[in-house]
Amino acid sequence: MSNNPDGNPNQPFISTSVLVALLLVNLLGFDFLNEIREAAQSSGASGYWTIVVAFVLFIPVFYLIGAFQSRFPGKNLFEVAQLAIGQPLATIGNIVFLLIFIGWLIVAIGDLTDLVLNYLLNQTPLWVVLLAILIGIGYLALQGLVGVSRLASFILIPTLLIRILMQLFALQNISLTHLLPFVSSEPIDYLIGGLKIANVFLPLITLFLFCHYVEEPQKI
Amino acid sequence: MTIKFSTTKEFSAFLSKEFNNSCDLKFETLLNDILVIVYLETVVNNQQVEAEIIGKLKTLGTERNFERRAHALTWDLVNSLIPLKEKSALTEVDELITELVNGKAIIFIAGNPTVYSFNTRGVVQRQLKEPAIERTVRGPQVSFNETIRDNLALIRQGIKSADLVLQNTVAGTRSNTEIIICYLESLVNRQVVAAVQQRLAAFEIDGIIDSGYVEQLISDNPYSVFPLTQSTERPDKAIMALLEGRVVILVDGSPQAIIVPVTLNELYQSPEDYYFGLWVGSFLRFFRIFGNNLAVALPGLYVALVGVNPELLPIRFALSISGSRAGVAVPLIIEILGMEIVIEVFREASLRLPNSLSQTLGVAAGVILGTAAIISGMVSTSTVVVVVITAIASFSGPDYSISLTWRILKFILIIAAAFLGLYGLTIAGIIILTNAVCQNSFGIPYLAPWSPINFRGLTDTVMRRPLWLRRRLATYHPTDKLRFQKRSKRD
Repeated sequence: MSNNPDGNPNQPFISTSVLVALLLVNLLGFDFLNEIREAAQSSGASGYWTIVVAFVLFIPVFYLIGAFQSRFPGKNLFEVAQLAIGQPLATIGNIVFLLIFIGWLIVAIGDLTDLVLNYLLNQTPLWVVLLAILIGIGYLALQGLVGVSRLASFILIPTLLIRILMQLFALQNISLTHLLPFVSSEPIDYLIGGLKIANVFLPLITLFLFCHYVEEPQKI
Repeated sequence: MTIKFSTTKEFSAFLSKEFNNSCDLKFETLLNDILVIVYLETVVNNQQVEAEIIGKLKTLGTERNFERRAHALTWDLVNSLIPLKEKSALTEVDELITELVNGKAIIFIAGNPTVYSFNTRGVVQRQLKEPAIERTVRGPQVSFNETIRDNLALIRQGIKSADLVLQNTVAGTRSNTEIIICYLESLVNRQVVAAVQQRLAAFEIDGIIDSGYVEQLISDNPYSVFPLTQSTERPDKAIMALLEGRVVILVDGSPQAIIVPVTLNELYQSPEDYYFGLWVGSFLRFFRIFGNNLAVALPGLYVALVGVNPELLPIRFALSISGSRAGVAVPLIIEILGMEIVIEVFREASLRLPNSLSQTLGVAAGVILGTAAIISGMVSTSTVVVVVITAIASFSGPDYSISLTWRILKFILIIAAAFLGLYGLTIAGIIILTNAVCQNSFGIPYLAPWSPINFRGLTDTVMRRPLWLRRRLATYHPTDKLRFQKRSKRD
């Protein structure tokens, strides 16, 4: 963050550490229970390989992000699209991307709302639960990139601790035999499983969206 | 306006008019109206004025042939008679009035365009006492008082170095309150000093009564519920802040110094943490933070788990709490809000009660009213337990301002939990956290070093940092990063 004492707190600059925190919180927080279930359903006891497969499937995306960043330094996804494919196509592409992104967010909010309605507030009307989450998201959005990334940075360590604890508790009945069949399913199952849980790496797109907001470290 | 008065009568009449014939404005005319001494008897040391100014100048008049050589009355002669060292020559009426209200005695010689002021300040002050709010078991047991010079002396005693810079300014068009900015030249982030100076110069107000006024006027966000400056009554805390490269602001008439910048993490630290050993200090700090979190979250959590999501509790525990609430006629939210409001009222009332009564009445109110409320079915035992734990835990933090903030936010969490259970508590918690992370104190993120994450800074959060670490924490961007080094045996 800027160390200018009278700087605007909402200036669109974040430090590298905060960006990393934002990415990690996204990765840790996004749909992590559902993905594990999907992995186990598609590939059984050795479903953990699907995470590796999903990561491999995402390597071209990471490569593209890196290539675009080096070709168009300091530009975000939308600006890169305009420079790479021209204004008319980029406008259409960006709108499609935004629609997919918003659709993905709607699905994520829907999943969360379902979870809340099923397990916590089964007598509460849907609109109340939705309104509450939208108020939270709206307030967060009002604070801008700095607010969002600082919040991510603040909750990173607690989130990480909770995640580790959850994994440890989940492992209490595990035996070595569950891990031994390294490749117990067909390769096609791993591929399908990998595709199913590939969206766990989608938050890494954040890197592309926010990279150009990263501020150079300041020396005093 | 320059001083142009041909006679002492004219001069006295002018000042009387300026001060609206104030009864404490005193004139002592000597040497057949050649010279007049003016002072405000309420702010000077009257004995000093009498003995060292009036008494000395009267000796001139005892000389028999003085009248014949009245023209020989010069400033050199006057100054040679008065033993006071702190004096200044004035030519402007505004300066003259400022000096008078600041406890100076003024000497005017008829027809002379220059007057002299002598420091005879004698303010009403109380003795240095033990800290009333930020008490510790170990360490210095002295607190600031209302006299700025005493407070400066306490800081100077702690830092005997030419590196300590004291800059003064005056605020308040009517109160003319002296404000002093203190910092260590070789440590402080110059941007913070510049921001403090700029913010102090940026407002005009009629009076500054306490440092609380200044806090609000220089805050990054005066509408924030979080304290974005730190106030302390402890000189040792102020000295520690200076050694971290922070700026201390003293306000005349206020027993609380302001420290900037501040982080939320800092508000949970007590000087005592560093007076005890590493593990004891860390242990104390851990439970202090735990207690404060308990004070904020416990009532909300109780409402969420008992009132909305009891299925998340272990069955025996849930049944036990339900059993204790069986005879209670009001809903849980009314019960807990009612109790919290009563506790807040008690807390405020106990502050106003005389010391001799407050303890007795507090116990009586707590025990008798608590028991009566349970028996009458107004509240359950479990609610009383939660409210009492919350009330006591809220005092575990060393900073009063932040505990007040949490007391306010606690009500928001209770209401959110009552409506939407754990989900509501989470949403409200996220909104509060978002608000906190977006605050800055003189350019420093309020939740540093947690956000943005600074792993070295995290060594001084829940746990205390060892004193013997080489580098100073970078949270406040001190210019000198080296803090500790071992001397070689040869040294």
